[in-house]
Amino acid sequence: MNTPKRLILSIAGLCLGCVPDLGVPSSLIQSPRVLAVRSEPAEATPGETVRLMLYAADPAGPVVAATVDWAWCSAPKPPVESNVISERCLSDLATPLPSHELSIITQVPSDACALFGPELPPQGPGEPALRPRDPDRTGGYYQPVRARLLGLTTIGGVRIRCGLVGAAPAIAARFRSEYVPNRNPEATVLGISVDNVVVTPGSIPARRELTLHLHLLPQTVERFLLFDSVQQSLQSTPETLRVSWLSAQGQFRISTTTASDESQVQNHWIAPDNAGPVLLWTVLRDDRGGVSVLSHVLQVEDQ
Amino acid sequence: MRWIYWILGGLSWWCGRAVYAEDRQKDPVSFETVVRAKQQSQGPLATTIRAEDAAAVTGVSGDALRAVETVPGVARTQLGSGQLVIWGAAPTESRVLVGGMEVPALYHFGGFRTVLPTTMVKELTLLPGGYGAAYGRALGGLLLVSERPTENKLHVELRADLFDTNVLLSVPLGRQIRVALSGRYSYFEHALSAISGTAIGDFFPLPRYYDFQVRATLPFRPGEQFSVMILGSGDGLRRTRSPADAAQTQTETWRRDFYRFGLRYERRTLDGAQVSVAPWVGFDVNDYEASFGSTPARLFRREIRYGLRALYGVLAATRVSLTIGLDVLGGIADLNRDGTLTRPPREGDRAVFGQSPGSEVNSDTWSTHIADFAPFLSLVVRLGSLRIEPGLRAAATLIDASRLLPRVGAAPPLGSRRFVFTLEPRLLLRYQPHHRLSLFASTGLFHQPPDAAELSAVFGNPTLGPSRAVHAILGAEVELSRVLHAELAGYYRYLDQLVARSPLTTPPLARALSQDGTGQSYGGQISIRLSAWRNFSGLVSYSVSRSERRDELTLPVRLADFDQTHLLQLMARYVLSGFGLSLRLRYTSGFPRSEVVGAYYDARGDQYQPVFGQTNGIRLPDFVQLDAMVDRSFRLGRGVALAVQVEVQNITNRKNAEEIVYRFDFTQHDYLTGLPAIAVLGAKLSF
Repeated sequence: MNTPKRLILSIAGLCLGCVPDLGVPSSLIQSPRVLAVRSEPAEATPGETVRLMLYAADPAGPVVAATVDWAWCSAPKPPVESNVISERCLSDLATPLPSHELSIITQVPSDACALFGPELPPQGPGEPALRPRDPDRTGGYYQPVRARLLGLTTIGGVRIRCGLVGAAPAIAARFRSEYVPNRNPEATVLGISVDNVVVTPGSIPARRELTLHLHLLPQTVERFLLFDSVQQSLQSTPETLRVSWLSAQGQFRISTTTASDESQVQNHWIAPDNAGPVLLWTVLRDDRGGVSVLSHVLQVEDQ
Repeated sequence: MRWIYWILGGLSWWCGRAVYAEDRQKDPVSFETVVRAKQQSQGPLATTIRAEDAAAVTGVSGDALRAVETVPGVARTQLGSGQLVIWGAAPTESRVLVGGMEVPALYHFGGFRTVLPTTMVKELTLLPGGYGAAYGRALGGLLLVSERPTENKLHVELRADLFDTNVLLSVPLGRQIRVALSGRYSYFEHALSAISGTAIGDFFPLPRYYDFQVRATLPFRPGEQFSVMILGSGDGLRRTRSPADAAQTQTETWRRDFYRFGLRYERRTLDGAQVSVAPWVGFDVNDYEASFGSTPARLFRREIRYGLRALYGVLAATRVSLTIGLDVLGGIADLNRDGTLTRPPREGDRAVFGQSPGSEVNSDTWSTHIADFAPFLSLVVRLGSLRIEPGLRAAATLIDASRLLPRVGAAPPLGSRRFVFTLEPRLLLRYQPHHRLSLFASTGLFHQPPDAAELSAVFGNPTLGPSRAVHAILGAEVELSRVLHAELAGYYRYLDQLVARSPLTTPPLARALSQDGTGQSYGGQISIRLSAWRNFSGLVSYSVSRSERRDELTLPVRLADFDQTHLLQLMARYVLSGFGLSLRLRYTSGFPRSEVVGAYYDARGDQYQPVFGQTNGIRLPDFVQLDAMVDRSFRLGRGVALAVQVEVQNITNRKNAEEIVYRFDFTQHDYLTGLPAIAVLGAKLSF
């Protein structure tokens, strides 16, 4: 091997070594973890009643008996912050909710669109107009909700229906009449195969890499109207779905995958060495804030 | 770290002994100086390095302009960033001029190479601050690059190393016109990808770049010359993080192209008068595109740049010389931006490496015209040992923005056109009480117009005006012997009207940026240079500095992103039997970072978010690196010469921390380390 080639190889090898190994992947559940916060319905108007559900798990299985401190966040995030909420939502600027269950029924605050959406209060004479909040890339605004469980702080969000900013009146009217609120995505079953041979959840070979297919309900991938402020137009846009895969055992090839088509989401998982039951979690999210959580019990067998 | 001081102290003592001995023996200087500094009228602490000397500096891989990294007061920057940080100023606050034409950056992406090859450089001059009225538009320092003169005979030069290949052809056309053509193309990316696969780029961003230069000169008569200069440069860089996780995948792509076409007429008369007129025009394209999971970001900018430097200098009286001139710089830009407000990042942003920005997005399309017309006048008055250099620069800055407010429906845009007038007095005093001692003091007012990208009604503020700085410098130069020079200086720089993000929860419309920022940088530096003594030359320099910013009056003072408290450098070169042996040792404080004091789970984005403590409240570990180089030149006959150099960077293979990396839930952290020991073989063939 000539000298330059040797040099290049040494750089390549050593640069790869520059990236530190920070331990386990995010898909491995080693301690109590919050998996998701789901709102039903997935999109609501201010003042509307919603059911909030917190899903949590630990290595032994789902967390079902725990006290949750719920609170609506009441501090908008300064645009300068890269985080998803104002840090004051973690301390004093949050309105506690009376219920402490994993699933609660509550009302979306009536000022949600003013605090977290584009509907800012009108300014008095001489006062400058204020900058409307920016939507996410699906045109959505979210009322943050804080949940504290077993010392873990989680921030969820309920997508709220607010007006359009920067749109001509005709476009805004069309948006109001044609926009379909988001629904939570739903998956059905987990298909499993080894080397293209279907296996049942009750007979999973140990140490083998399995292909997992999470099948989606028809019409799970919704289309929604998205306002383009530069083009001043409404575009019908499909949702993007992604699945977070979690388990206390085995190893996923990828922690989060996106839907390859409108019917399923795929991943690979190496079964653990030891025989016994294994719980897999799939958290299906759409990019408008909808979510659904499924658990799948597999039986690993020595072969 | 104590061993560094022992080495430094020992070397200083040995240098001192050696130089006194040299004074007694009066040996002739046996070889060329590695680094040469001279005091020019541009300002105090001006450091000029010839290209030949600069290219021989250890750690710059033969790239002459990178020798600016060795000048006291220039901070070490993060690996791969390619930024120029002078006295704690942000890179955007300093400027680079090549032959009087402003270029958008000194470095190609990745920071391995500068945008002008050594073959086209005559010398570089760094003005860290307090410079004269002939220059402005920068709150920080200036780097002036002068082009290498064209030769009156056929000359070919070929330089190649691990990163790229550069070819220079210099040829006379007819009896008077001389033309030099140079081109450089990088293959670092291709070579590395071919051997290691494209996955290497997922961890280590691989730059690709090219540049070319054309220079033609036509001397009319003695002291009078007309020249043409064409510069072109193109860069691309792509970085991907966590490619295995679709939701967390982050890709960032940068593209930067710029072209310059300049003319220059120069004339020097026998009575010492000097006339120079240099108009130029250029075209820049910058494209930043990123995706952070599902959150996109893009900033595209296309700009026509133009400028003019006209100067007339004359000896007005026996002890008085006068320079008057006009300095014009303009840019007509079209920009569009999509995505999150916090990308591209700004100085002072709180974020950790790899953190996704918030999910909010917006978009805007706007255009600007920013032009700065600055006549200036400066005097040099000599009164015995005292030299007084007062100057005045008056600038009229046109700031034209196409939109004052964000787009609403089909309403026509309402733009703005403003002229901002500024006066910038400058003063430099130099007193020489002894032929070996020179004292100097300098102060001045400086302004910098806003950047076109900051004038967006959605992402910025179209009413921004120039930012302001006051520089004050005090120092001394001591000629300890004919070859040993010491320089000691302290500086203070106050900044206000700085552009910063609005900290308000709900800022006014079209005021995402405000101009309420203030800051200060202060520090001192000492350097001792051994020019040439018995085949030995060297430099020891130490800088201590502090750079602070406050983005708004109600916010606490914080460290600037580019603050670097200590910067110690030791360079030595020895020539033995035709071989040049060089060493360079650097010790610097780590970069400031914002501390992470906690984290929470963002259930909607399925990722953990950090909770920050004090902005820039912690630092990366200190940086220490030792580089070594061996070089040798050979004459192959028939005018053909071959120069070979082998440079080993980070010879001790120390794992210097370049960035803090956190586990996905912020419960652990580690450091992303810099390059390991790396050898770069370079060769130059010329005839």
